[in-house]
Amino acid sequence: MTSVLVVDDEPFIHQLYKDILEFYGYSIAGEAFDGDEAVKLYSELARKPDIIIMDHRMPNKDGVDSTIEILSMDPKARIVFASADSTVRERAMEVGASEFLGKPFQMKDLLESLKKLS
Amino acid sequence: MNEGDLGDEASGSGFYLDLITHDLKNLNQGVYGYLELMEMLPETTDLQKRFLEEALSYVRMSGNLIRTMEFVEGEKSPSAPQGLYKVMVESYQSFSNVNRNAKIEMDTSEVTKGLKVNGSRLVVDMFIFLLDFMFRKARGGKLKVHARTEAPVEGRVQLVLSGDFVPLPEKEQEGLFNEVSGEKGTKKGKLVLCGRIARMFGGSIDYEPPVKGSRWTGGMFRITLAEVSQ
Repeated sequence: MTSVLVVDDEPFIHQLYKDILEFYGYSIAGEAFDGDEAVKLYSELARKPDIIIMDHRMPNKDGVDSTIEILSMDPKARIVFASADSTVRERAMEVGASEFLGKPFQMKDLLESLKKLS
Repeated sequence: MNEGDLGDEASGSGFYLDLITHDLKNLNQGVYGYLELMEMLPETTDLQKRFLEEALSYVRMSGNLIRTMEFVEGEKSPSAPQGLYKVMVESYQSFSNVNRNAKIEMDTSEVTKGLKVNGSRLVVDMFIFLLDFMFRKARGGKLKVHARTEAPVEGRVQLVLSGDFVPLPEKEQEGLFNEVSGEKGTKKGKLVLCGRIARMFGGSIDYEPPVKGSRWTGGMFRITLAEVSQ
């Protein structure tokens, strides 16, 4: 079963992701509500998640900086960037995100991205 | 840079609108996400009901955010609320990853006026759903839509929608809000949901066929909604 780490500062977005991911048979490896928490959680997880869904605008540390730190720890980490800030698309891909989804996106696009990276 | 840093660097209305748009996009993600999940399920499941409730809660939050901003901007300039609908429309245009070729001209000025009079939350909610539909339906063609509200009658509000529903045949126009088997997941899905929601709240949707000599080539939908107080 493909495992996913959800990173977003909005609790309702977590719930939405959990609803769709569990419905389609993915497991939730963990949840983080800001960039610092995401980096810390990733470093602590004994079994690394297969995919990370990463928001950008978050307290303490944004998605781009978190992506850089996670990839420096584990260059094989696969990150789907999901942000309402479309201006960050280029930067996110530049620092190593595997996919970029601009909110609001269709759930089927998220599922396609996850399938591609699984 | 985090949100706090962004706030420190912020100046001018550009940043202000950027924040609103960002929040609206997040809320819209909740609306669209749950509607899409709802469309993936059979109609009668409890899970589908929960997904609809989730979607509606984000529609309401979105409406509340818009109304709050209307109030704040209204303090600065009496004509400002129209600008907020522009923000809202821009937010929906961000859905362009789905509707790359969508073109729409939507005259909402009379809706804005109507909303200020009756303050119905549900009208705003429905309007959002309709906007979504219009963007989807306009794929590959050009659609002109005129929306207006009519004065509340016996506690009910009417949203009147008319336009050039070309290239949609008249026969198809009439049943746009109706449940049709095999329509799940299609571009009609959202409008079916829209009709379902109107009926859930004790409202109705009536269709009037195109009238010769009318400003619009399409028919007219008269959507009667039970007024919902704040």
